[in-house]
Amino acid sequence: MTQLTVADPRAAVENLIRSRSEPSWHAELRRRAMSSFLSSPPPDRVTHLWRYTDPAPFLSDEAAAQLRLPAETGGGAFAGKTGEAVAPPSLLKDAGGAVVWRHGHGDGSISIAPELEALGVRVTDLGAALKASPDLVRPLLGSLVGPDVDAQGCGKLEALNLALWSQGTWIHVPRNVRVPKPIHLWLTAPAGKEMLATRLLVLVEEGADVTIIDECEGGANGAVLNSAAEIFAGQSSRVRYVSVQRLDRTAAYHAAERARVERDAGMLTAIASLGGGITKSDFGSLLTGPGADVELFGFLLGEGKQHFDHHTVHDHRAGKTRSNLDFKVVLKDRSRSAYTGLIRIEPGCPDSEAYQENRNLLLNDGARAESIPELEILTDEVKCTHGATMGTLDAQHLFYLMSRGIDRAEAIRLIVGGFIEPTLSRLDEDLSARLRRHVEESVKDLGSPRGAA
Amino acid sequence: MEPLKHSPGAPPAADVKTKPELHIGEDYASRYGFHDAEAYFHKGRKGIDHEVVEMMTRMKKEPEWMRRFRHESLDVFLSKPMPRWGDTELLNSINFDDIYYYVKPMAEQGKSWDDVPENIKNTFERLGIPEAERKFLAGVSAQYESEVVYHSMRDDLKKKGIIFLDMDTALREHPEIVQKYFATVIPAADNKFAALNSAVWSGGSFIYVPPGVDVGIPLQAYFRINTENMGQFERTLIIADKGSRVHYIEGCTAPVYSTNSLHSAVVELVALEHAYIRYTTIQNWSNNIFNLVTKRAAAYRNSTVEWVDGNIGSKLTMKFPCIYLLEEGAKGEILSVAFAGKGQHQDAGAKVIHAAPRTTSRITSKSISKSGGRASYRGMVKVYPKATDCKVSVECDALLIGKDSRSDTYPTMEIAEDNVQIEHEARVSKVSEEQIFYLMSRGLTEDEARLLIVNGFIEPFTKELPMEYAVELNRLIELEMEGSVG
Repeated sequence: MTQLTVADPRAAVENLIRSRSEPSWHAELRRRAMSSFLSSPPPDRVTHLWRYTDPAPFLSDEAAAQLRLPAETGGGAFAGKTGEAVAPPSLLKDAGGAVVWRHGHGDGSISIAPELEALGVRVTDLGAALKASPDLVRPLLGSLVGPDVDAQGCGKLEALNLALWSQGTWIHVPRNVRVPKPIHLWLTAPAGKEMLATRLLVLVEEGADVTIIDECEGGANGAVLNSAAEIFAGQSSRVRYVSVQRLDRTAAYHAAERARVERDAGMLTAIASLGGGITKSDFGSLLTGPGADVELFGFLLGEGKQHFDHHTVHDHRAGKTRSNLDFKVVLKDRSRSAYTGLIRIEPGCPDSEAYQENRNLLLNDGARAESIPELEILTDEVKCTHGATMGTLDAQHLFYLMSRGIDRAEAIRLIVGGFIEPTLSRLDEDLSARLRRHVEESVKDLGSPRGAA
Repeated sequence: MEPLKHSPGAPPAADVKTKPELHIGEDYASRYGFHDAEAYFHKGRKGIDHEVVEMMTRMKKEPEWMRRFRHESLDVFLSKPMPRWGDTELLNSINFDDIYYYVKPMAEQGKSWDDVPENIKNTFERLGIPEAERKFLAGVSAQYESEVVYHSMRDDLKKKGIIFLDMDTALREHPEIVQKYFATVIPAADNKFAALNSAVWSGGSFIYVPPGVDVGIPLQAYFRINTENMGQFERTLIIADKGSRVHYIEGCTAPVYSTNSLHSAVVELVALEHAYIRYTTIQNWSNNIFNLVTKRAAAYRNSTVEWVDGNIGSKLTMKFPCIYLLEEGAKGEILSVAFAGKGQHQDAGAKVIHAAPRTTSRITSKSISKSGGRASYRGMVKVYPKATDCKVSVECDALLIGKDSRSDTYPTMEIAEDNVQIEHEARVSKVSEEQIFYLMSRGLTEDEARLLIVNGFIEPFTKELPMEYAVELNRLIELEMEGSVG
């Protein structure tokens, strides 16, 4: 492990390029991203994307100054070896799929079931893929979460990620291959005032089918995690991407995810936001071919002084496309959530349908929720609806449960569980079971006296 | 009485780009050495600076506090940047130096209809104002250019103690009550356009309804823009004292001109305990006008404020009628319709701020985008901490007609209290082929079928209007819908 002080961010980029002997095309991409990062203004708080969250914690010099890079050049430690039991035991049941386990700045392993490898499925370190599969990686990398920053400074943190990512994963599912078990990415973020930039690139070819679970934890003592994910869902493919964030309450988390969903492809994104001190995320899908169908289910459970700012985008760029979104928010103590979601239907995309629902449950005063579900519709032959609600615990529900001898705390847990359950039940059984466990853990101390968290 | 004559060769404007140092209270005449105020304004001049403001306030013989308020407001206007949100491209195309900020139509306000100049009269005749008056209307204050020129009021309203005047007259005749409420709901620094209005306002209506008085019939005013490149900055203030009720109607149309005009009004409503105010607007400015209006109401204990807001005309409208529910039991309702045709952007919406417990609000927005027009709903619902047991319902419906039309929905909900119930819903759709087919199978032409569907779509709005307005609105929609097939 080498530690690098980023007095000069451009030098940091050069160091990364050199230590990983990256191909020149990617080196150029990094340099371009760093240039636009350095030359762009900080995100404008007037644009609603940054209206509710201060970008400073993600940009702090303190964090960047302690940027660390793995000594290993891309790939070496992560070459796809099967069956190395270094993954956390809880993941072993996923055998038959693949597990990418990363710990801190450099340790970790990638294991992939041999039968998958035989089918041509690749789960490798992204740094290695730059060299091993440039023909596939090069046209995709940075095309959805890229180096460009707009005049309002939106995209600045995405540019920073592209310039400085040090841990990346490449997933490639060839044509018509069905991956029976999830590919599980497990990151334990490093502790301490440091920034780690991670990147995921997924190519799912025509007719293929895959589930990816992207989970992160750790990050104690004020770590900054900047993650980017680009997912390409080819024609008629099925992709399920589940993001579970359970970082330490002191961590700052910035996530940008974009999927390009082609003709007749189905993409399901599930988001569970549970941890982190400050979370700023932007998940979205571009529906580029007719028949593309996108679902996004998300929920967050906030307590203490947690701050969540989630943005979603469903951009319909072809006719006969459909999107559906359901985002649920539960807030306790002095936690805060801002949810902004945009549905955009571009001109000339008839027969599109888009639905969006955002429900907020505030468990006590002191919690704050913001909701901005937006529509931009530029085609007339469409069906679009969105809805948002905010409310408190239903006193009647609470009374009913308590009159049945259930104590107040347990009653609140039941109601919150019931609030989120409709979202969970729309997911595959193994996914919903996994997420339900996290929910149960999070609501464990709900209903406890105020200020306990 | 001498009607205003506009000379195209206006006197050369002072350098409006360099902002002169301002020392409120010093002698402007010697500082700028300008000439006779009457002659100056009768010729008119474009652009805005402290000299224009000083001239205006002298012409109007305003009290010192208003003079200071105008100058301070101008400083705010000059120092505030243009908004960085909304349709910034259109907003930034406004050339503030190319606008008349004050034009006085005649020396004295017409006391009777006979005194009103013929050309102005003709405009009003076409709009049917005398007719309306003959029927049942309480008072008519018709604003031509910047000054109210005709104003009458039925005797029985006067007897009830209701004050219904143009703003300038109200400032002269009731200075204490104007000063008490003026700019308390919308301070000059609220936004750039409110600051501009505060600096150069002219005309508008002032209404005071004494405690317990029910006005009974709607009060009305018509506004017209008739001078090319002329800004219209009317200022309206309505105070409904405890337990009183009033319905005010404002309607606008304007002839079409070739260059852009700016309309930037400020409307303040104060509903005291148990009072009721309804404010109805039908806006049909010509399609070259920027209509940037700040409307806000302060609603006190158990009062009700309703904005009924129809936007049909203008090039760009940015108008978000707002209600501050300040005390327990206050109610707010905003009902709006926007119709955006070719080349139009209706950026309309609603704001409700719940600052007290047990306050309720309902927002209903209907928009129609047609032939490449763009209608946006931009709303804000805010619930402050401790504003418990609030109920909020927001419903937005949008109808799209034509492939290039655009509909946006930007609702914002900021909630800092757990014990609230908030519901927001929005739907966007096109006129359904099944409905058209059904109506056509009953013998209607396609045009007629579409018109019927559109009229049905905005019916929740039209049914809230007095009959003659509903008729006028239906006629406007009919005109807008002509030839919408294909």
